[in-house]
Amino acid sequence: MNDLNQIFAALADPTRRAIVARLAKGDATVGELAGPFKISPPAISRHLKVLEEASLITNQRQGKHRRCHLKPEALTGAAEWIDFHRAFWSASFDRLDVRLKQTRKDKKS
Amino acid sequence: MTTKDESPVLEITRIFEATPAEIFNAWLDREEWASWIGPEGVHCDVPLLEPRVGGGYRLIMHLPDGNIIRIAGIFKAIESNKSFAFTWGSAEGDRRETLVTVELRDLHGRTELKLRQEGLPTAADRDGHDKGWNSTMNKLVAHLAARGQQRSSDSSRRPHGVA
Repeated sequence: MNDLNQIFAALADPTRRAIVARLAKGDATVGELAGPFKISPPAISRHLKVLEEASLITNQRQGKHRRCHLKPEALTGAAEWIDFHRAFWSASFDRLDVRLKQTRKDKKS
Repeated sequence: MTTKDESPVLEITRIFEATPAEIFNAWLDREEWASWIGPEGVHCDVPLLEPRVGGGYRLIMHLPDGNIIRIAGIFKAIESNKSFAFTWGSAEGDRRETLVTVELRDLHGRTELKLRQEGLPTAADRDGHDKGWNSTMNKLVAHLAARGQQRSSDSSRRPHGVA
């Protein structure tokens, strides 16, 4: 089951975030993705598998190579959800702060 | 953010010039809650708030553009002047429901409030009927950003480093 927990877990790893950042610029083969990292091809494959299972990327075989593609729509739900609630609570607390200070003033006077 | 964070959680910490009891009452009293909940410029009605475990609440947000967001939930835990937890989700058929936990720490005259919100919807929910909810959320986020009301003290475990 692909849910947001899985997406966050997939993105909790810095190597996988770097892979996603690279794919945001365009599709790449597994070899191209492995290039900047000092880790073995099997390790890269494991990272790609986690990203695939979270529906963040897809890959297609092209001859000898596999070509990876980012599915940015998978990120939308998580980001929107968090942005909304952070903004909501944050702005509410601004008002609560004002409210509490006002209540204290009223008590004093 | 560390690589250990594996679940999507929103955490916000704020320090208030008030006692834990004052903050507790500001949340658990229906009229008090309605007086501050929601962003500036977004009028909120609280037609129901039952401050007991198993009790429910309803919150209606009136956005500046006329859109309405309806939230509903149930109190799962209440410890007087210390902490409480409630479910939080859209009241309109959207199955998205999260758990909000609020903890109050007495700092001798001031109080640290820690809010934690967890529990995310499935991809199936997201792809289906909640597009309207997301777009309404986006409008509110845009509204808030325009007012510059977001504070840097807030934190969340949002993945970053992604384009």
